[in-house]
Amino acid sequence: MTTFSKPENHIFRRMDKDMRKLQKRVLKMGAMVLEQMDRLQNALAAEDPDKARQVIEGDRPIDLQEVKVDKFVIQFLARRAPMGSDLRFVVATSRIVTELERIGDETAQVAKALFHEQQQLAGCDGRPADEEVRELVGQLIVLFDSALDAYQHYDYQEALALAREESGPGYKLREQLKELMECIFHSQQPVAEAATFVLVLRALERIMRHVQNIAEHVIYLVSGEDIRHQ
Amino acid sequence: MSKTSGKTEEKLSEPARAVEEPSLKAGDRRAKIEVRHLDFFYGNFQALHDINLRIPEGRVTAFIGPSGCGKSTLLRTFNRIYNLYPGHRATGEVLLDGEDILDRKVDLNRLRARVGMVFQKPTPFPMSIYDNIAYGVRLYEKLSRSEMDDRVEDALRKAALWDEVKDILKRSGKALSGGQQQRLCIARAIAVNPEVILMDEPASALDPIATAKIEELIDELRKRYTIVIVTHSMQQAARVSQRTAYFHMGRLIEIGKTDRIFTNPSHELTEAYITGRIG
Repeated sequence: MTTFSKPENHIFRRMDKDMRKLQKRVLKMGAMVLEQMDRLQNALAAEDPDKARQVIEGDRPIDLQEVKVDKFVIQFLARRAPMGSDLRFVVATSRIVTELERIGDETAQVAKALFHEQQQLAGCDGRPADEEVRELVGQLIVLFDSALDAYQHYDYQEALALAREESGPGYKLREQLKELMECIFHSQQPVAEAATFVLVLRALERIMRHVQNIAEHVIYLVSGEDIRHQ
Repeated sequence: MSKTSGKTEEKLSEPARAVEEPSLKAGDRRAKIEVRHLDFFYGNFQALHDINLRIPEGRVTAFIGPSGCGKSTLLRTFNRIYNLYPGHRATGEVLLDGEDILDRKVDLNRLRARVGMVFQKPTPFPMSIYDNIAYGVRLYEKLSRSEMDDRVEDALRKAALWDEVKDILKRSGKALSGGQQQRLCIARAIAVNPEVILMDEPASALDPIATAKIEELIDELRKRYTIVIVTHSMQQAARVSQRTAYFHMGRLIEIGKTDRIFTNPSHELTEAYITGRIG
């Protein structure tokens, strides 16, 4: 049995305002990360190093937003001393900010690996690597968007579906990543190319993990259940 | 009028059954006080409705809730201080170590020695610091001068006041600061060797430093005594107690581990109160 209240109806109305402001800033940070992933996908489609450079450079504003939100969280904790679901909201939000920053980092890492190092990836089973990665990024965008949506609307069911390892919308993506990884290990690609491909796939795997973490934080926010590491 | 009072009344019209974690019903600690089906009346006004709860031994239990919720009323049944006022009456059972203290045959002086009380406003007697402590002890025990000296020192030490007053024991208790006066009152309660200490907003008139000293003292005292504290400060309840009970309009809404009550309460009225959504 648990209780959850949206950030509204506080007697001290500034509390509502502050919580909404905090969520808005986090969602803005989420939108920035989403845009980065979009740019990466476009860069892959166009095979355009300029667009890839934009992804690499685009990571900095996300880092700055993280610092800004963190500062707000600390001030909020000090001034408002939240309790109950308000406390869970702030704790979960703060954790989500960290996940967003890491997704931003990983996205930039993929861009660097694919374009900055000018590696040509051979791909697997006849499918070009760029195409594989682009498709995976596309799937990640959908999942990430869904995680942000669950956070914005305190959607327990949506978060629960995302957090599930063995089913849920992320299952297909995880399976695909696994298959690709196996394919590379058994292929006869040059070591450098294979290593870069593995690096990219690992980064995408980590993004997936961060998306799931966001879902877990939403579950904690709404229900008080901590399902991490279970 | 609170924004949600209409809803609140609706929720309260349902049969009241306080939420308590099953694991705590069995309790890892013996219940020092057990309240069963307690109703309390101020004349015709019913201030408490069918209260059932257990106060574990050697723990700090905090009572929280909006003004008029009945938390202080309940506290005052534990040493029957309400008996001082005509028209105040309690029905049901309040068991102290299994003995019903609402029974008319209970010796109230002995009960109040076993269950001491500290009030919101420090209330030192208009006498010396020494006599503030000795006065209560003399009511219950006949001690020699040196035994009394030891008792006074021991009580003041336990109340973390000895070092500040050991050289001014003959000075009036009223000459101390507010925080010191409150610790003197705690020492006075301790001096008669109580088993339970009741505290009714003991730090609400004190500054943050004096409050911190009282809270540190409460934390220290719980090793020896069972403590029940009524407080309007949720941060204080969160800091000093191991269990918290939330009351609303004369009913116990929820009781459980403090860690849980302040992070994930089970009842929406508790959640609304601790997050500042009802007045």
